[in-house]
Amino acid sequence: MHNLLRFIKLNQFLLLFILIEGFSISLLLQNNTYQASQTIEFSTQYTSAIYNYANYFYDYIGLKETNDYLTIENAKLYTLLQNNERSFDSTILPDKTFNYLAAKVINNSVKKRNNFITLNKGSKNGVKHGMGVITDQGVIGIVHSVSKNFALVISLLHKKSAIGIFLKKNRHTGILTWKGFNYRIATISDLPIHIPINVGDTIITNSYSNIYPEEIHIGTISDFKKNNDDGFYTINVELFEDFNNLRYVYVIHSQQSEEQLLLEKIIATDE
Amino acid sequence: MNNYYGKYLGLLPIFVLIQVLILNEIFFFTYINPYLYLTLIISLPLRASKWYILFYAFSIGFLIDLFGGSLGFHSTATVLIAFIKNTISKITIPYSILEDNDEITLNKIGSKSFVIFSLLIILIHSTIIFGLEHLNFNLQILAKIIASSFTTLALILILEILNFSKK
Repeated sequence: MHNLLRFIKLNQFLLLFILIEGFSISLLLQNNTYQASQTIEFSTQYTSAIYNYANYFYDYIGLKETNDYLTIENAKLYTLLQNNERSFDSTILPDKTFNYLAAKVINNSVKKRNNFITLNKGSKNGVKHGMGVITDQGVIGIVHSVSKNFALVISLLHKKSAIGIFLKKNRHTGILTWKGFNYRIATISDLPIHIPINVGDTIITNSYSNIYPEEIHIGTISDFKKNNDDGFYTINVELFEDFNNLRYVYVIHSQQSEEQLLLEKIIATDE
Repeated sequence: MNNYYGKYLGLLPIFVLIQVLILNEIFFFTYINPYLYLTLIISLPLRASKWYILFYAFSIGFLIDLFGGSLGFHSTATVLIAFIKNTISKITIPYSILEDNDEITLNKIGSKSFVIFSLLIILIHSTIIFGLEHLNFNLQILAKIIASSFTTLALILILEILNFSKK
């Protein structure tokens, strides 16, 4: 016992280091567990409040760009409205399954391997875990955790992000991921090489997802490579959205997603 | 209680805010992400209580992680450099230049030792952070480590020179 105490006293620095470093590494490893997301959820309300204050300042700098953006957005919606009024065509059913909630980006990063986005809407406004986030120029991400006034979104620029996509011209389906580094380029690596593709082909979201609406335009193919060994393409997609310049986004609430999930759950349990 | 303990505790929130509100926001290139808060760990006196150094480094890393939304990356790296700092100082800083409670600054230990000492610490820190983030190693990551490290070093040197000329 005496020896043990002496050992601890002599090596207290090393032991303390091992303890703290071990704690850090365990935080790193359990980044996706319940406890970790609870911690993040708890801290989000404070860190976001600070980002929100800083944002008052950034808002003044970006006032002109925001104005331009809103004008363009307005014009777009106006045309949409007019087109809608004119076409009382019974063959086109209005898609009312998705509700959109506009939110402002108060913090965002593109430089890290795993990027997160903070929004100024939270559980108070009806944002929930797992909702999709988009802009008119593409898919942004999925809500990861929510506090009362803020939400933390896993960006498309994240190791765990994967978005189901279609090639617009022939509806072949694939999965879009991000390999790190360049925030304008995402990658598809599960399209078989018998499918004909060209540089400039448009990529859109597919219809299988219950998070995103179908046919959101995401980007165009900028270059691709055939891997004859495994029979798949490696395709680089240039994204329409400039993630470094996000200002306003839409959080999507899909009214059918719960129903679809429930149905798929029944099938899963039957098997 | 030494007076620099309080001073460093006061500087901690300032540097965390500078890091998350300014340096993380400014977009240099995809490859450059400077971590200015390392200047705090670099300049902490060598004789400071080892408990203090470790907990101090952990709290910086943990706060930065909380703002970033994913836990463990920065705290792992900062705690490790706090641990090996004394060993590195033995290699790079000439013996008996510093008195007990001297902070490690540019004009105390000379520009050559300061640059080498800081660069070693920054390189280890960046290697761990980017290595953990990507869990991979290739030329792009190497470029990222080197570019970020030298930008961090430049920022720290500027800060030291400003500090020096003020006195």
